[in-house]
Amino acid sequence: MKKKHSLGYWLMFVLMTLIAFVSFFPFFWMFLSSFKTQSELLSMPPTFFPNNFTTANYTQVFKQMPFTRYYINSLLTSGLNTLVGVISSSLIGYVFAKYDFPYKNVIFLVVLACMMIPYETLMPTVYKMMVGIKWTNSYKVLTIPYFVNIFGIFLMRQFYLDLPDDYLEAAEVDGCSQFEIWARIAMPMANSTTSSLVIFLFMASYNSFMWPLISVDSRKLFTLPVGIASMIWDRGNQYAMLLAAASMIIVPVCILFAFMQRKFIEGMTSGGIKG
Amino acid sequence: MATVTLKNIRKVYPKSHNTNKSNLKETADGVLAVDDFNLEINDNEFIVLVGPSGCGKSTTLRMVAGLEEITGGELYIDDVLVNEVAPKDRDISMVFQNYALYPHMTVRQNMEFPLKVQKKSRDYIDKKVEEAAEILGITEYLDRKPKALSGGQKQRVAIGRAIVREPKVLLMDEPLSNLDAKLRNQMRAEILKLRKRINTTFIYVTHDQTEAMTLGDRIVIMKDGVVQQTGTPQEVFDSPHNLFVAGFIGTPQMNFYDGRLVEDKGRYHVEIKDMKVALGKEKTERLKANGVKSRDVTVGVRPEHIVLSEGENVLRSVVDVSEMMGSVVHLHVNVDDQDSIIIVPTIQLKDRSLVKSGAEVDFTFPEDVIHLFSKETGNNLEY
Ligand SMILES: Nc1ncnc2c1ncn2[C@@H]1O[C@H](COP(=O)(O)OP(=O)(O)OP(=O)(O)O)[C@@H](O)[C@H]1O
Ligand SMILES: [Mg+2]
Repeated sequence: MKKKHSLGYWLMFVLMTLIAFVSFFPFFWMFLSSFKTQSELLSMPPTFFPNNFTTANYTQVFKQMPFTRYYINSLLTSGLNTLVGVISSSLIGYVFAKYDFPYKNVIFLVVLACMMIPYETLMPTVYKMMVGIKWTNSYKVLTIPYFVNIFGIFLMRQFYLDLPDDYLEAAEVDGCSQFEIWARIAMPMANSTTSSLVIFLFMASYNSFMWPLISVDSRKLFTLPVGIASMIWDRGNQYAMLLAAASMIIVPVCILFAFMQRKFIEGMTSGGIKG
Repeated sequence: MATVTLKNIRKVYPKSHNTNKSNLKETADGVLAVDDFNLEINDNEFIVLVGPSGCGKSTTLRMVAGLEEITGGELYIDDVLVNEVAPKDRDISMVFQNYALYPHMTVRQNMEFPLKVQKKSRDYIDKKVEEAAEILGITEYLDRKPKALSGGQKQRVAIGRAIVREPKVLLMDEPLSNLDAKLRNQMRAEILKLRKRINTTFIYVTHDQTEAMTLGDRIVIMKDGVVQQTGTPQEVFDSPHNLFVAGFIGTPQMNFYDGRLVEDKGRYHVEIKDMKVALGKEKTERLKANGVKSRDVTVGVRPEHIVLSEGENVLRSVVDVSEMMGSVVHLHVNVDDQDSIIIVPTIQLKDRSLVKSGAEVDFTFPEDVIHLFSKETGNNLEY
């Protein structure tokens, strides 16, 4: 079916292309520049394509710091945090949306209130707590505090509120236990919202800097953001090398996004993210 | 295959702020959606719960399913008290009004689901699903998602999902109400066929009295949470126990006239305006047994029982509208500003002018088709 597009459509098309270009440009520049020498990178006027193509920055990344270790730390902790975070958000959101229990609304209000306090103000308290139970400087401190995410709970609850009870009741008479209803019907139906949450939680954990910085001292436990920052502190700004590191760091995010993209966008448009 | 017994079943919904006033009785705890429901359902019986919107049909069905808590009374399935038993352990299945097919599963996966939950063997599951698909004629859609099905097909899948498990009791809540009229008639016939092929006790909810009459072995007519009458379609049609049942069952509706029942030396006759109808032996005996004396009554007569007459002892009326239905004509007539409907076989209409509005017709009815209702309670005086 061929359809004539209106002027508005073409304006939109041009605008979207522009926005896409503007968003993509820095990444493209970063990628190209990671193959330049430090001096070329800082030269005036700046070059766009590398004059002297070099991969030295990449080898340096691995030489000057335990980059692989940081990478593994980041992937492991973020992966685990995302997995547990998605499950906990979905379960807790489901309970808030579909079950009745005393003081439900009050409890939910308290939970929401927690979201309104900026994380930075909570950090000292949480840190003291971690010191108290001797969790600092361990993988525990890099994972467990991420296992429950209030925004995630809120997002999933919103989805489940809109999910008709009939499906759940059908599952119930079809013989499911309460847990199976969630696991086999409700959770799969939340697919698109869950995908957006996967990206959100992964990014939140993968990018987090302050918390791993203050709660971990051992280099063996550093995640990518902290590891790179520590290299800067140790050896000063080596921009070309940083860009090489950054180019490698965004790879998992790109892969994740490519995997989840379609569902993510569905989730954005199908009433997943509200308020 | 099972018997289901409902004993004094009650349901009280807690009061919510936004419920506007309804016909339901209120108690201290909330609105009484179902009150004192008693019914013994036999093995393999097809029971239909019917009544106007909000009368508590769904609530009753959902209590049997275990989806709604039972406020009072006892529910037995096969003589086992199941008030506190979870739906999954009641061995029932249910077809929902809006199908409730799982959208992320194909038709086959939807139908397999109850069996998979029960961890049946692969072979068994395949066999059962194929059988059910065969019965319902949906074999060719098995690999589609519900999204790609028409309403009628979805409904079949929903029924398929309910029967693969061979439940003791199959519950259906207005399964046909989302279908168009033609499809509805077709599916109704299919449910009748289905019923012959599988051995299950059916409880079927509808607000459509035609569906109730054609499907049910017995019909339970409800209003405002209270059972009005239980009986075979024939029973509720021939001897409605009160005005509500009389008006609800049968289309077009039964005609009602203000009249007077006169008892004279052990004989009864009914007077409506200038017309007098003497009651026969059977009616007289039943009225006598109930000790009915002379009184004002509401007289009910079904449209198809009225006969046109040119004699003396008749009701006179003026035709408002007449509808040609083919083999019969529905005459909407006015008797002193009161509307009545008369069904006349077309073959009896020699005089075409009768069909025109404004024409005068006289009619009467034989004594054995008259229903007499108390003016105060609306109850049938004979029962
Ligand atoms: N969860 C609830 N809370 C409070 N009142 C309810 C609830 N569910 C139903 N009711 C009330 O109980 C009464 C019976 O409802 P029910 O759904 O059983 O009616 P129904 O006969 O199935 O009607 P319909 O033909 O419209 O489906 C209604 O008046 C309804 O407003
Ligand atoms: Mg209903």
